[in-house]
Amino acid sequence: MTLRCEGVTHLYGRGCADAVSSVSAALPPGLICAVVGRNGSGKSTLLRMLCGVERPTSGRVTWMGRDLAAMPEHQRARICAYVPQRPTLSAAFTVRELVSLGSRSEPRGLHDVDAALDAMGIAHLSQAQWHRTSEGERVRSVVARALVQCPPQGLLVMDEPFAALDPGECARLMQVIRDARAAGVTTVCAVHHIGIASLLADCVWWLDRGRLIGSGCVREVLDPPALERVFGVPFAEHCGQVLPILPAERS
Amino acid sequence: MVALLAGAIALRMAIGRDPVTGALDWAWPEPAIRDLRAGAVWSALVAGASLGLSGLLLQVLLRNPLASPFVLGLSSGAGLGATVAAWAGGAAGAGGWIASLATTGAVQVLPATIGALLTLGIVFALGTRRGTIEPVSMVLAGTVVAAICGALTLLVQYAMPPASRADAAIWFMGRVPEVPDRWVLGVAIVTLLVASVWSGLAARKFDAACASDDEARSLGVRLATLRLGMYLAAGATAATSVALCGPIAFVGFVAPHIARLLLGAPHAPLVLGSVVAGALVLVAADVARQALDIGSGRMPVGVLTAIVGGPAFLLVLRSSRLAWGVTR
Repeated sequence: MTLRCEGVTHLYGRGCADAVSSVSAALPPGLICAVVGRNGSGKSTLLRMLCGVERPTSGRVTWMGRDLAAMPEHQRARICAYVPQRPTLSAAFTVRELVSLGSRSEPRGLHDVDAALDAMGIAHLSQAQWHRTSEGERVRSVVARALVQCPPQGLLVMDEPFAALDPGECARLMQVIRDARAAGVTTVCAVHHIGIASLLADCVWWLDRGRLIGSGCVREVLDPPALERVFGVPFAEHCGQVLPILPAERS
Repeated sequence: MVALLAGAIALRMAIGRDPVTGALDWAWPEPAIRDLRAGAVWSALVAGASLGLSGLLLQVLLRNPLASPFVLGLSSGAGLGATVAAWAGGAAGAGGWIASLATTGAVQVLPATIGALLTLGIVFALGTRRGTIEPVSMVLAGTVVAAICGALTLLVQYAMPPASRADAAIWFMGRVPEVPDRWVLGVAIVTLLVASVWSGLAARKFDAACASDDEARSLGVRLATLRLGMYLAAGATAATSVALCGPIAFVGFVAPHIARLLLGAPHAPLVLGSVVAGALVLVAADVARQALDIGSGRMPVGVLTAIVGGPAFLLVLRSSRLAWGVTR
């Protein structure tokens, strides 16, 4: 197993409920894992611990047997790239300047800067100010930066990258993640859309109130009765996709 | 920009006022006067460059385009340190010191540095929560601490003998000394060189530090170490500039913005750019000060930079909402 969580727990402060509570799971190399769960179920906190930027209150996250949180930052940056839910920037960089923040001499990432801009369909924005682009375009730039940073056989951690993307861009990003898998990259990605999760992922981790309540293959874990129990609305399969049923249609 | 700086230096060497008649003097000076003007050029160069670098570092450190040593209270803290030292020196009978303070700006660097670092430390502590910087709290804390330091400085000045009070008040306006204390100037040059070289080497990390804390860490930046370095370098350069010239407003704020306009946002060229722009602004302000006659002689350069720099600050404050989209 490449990526392994051993009893990972995170507390934001004394008296607060655990954001993530004793999660133990493992991921074989070169797979795509979707992390699903309700709002506030601890997905983002778990992802931040998976890429080492947040230290677990107890337990540990290891990559090839090495504790990610204990690794020096510059070493960790050569293994793992992170796409946050809301990227921020306090300087007036162009899209190209932002993407090239991911580049370094060794080891080389999946793409160089130009190829990453092309892969995410933002080559035409390369000289635009990052702040002046749309939210979806900003997320695509940050994904491009991650593609420049993440080496083959590396780890790619993304927090809801599909949330701001149009359907065409969702399809493009799914293909980009699959191409990364072909290069041996392990991807962990928080996803709300069950359809995207089932199209994209090899396996699913399902979080509820900080606990891992299910893990395994998509069809086994995300069946309509289980989805209804957690999300509180009935689900049904439409044209091969599991979708929620609107209240008006339930009768 | 370098050519402009050279031009400004040449102008400053050529311009002066006749001490007797007060008339503008355009001729290339004789050796004695040349030395005086060279002293002023050196002071303005080093203090301006230090302020420019300090401003850039603070803007990166606090992720805030409005940060500068003056806004965050560093200059006021250093000024308070120097004033308290001058008052203590005067009270202890080391007369003459206050007079030299006003005429040459020869303050001991140490009290100014302590004042600046203490102020920055207080502002930093008030503006962070669990190791995370809260830019708005920090600028508010800086403004309040600057006001408190200013009031304390006035109090100390009030406690001084009336004769030195006016000198101290003039020193507090900020002025470019024509005979800088060699030791102060030396320390300021060394501090500026060390801080510039370190900043140049760390410039790529400054780029990554402009993203969120999580992103910066994931890009391989050890944030705590980088921030400590920025804190020390920004504090030390602000303090030496105050020791040299007194608290001068807005140079540290304007210089990085001038550099950004010309060189763009990445920090590798910005470090040198801010140093040169800071030096240029202060030397140019000193030239303008020579040329403007306001009746009772030349105005202190700090007053001039505040009058010109204040509107510039407001302009950036207005446009930064558009250009920076101030991060949510």
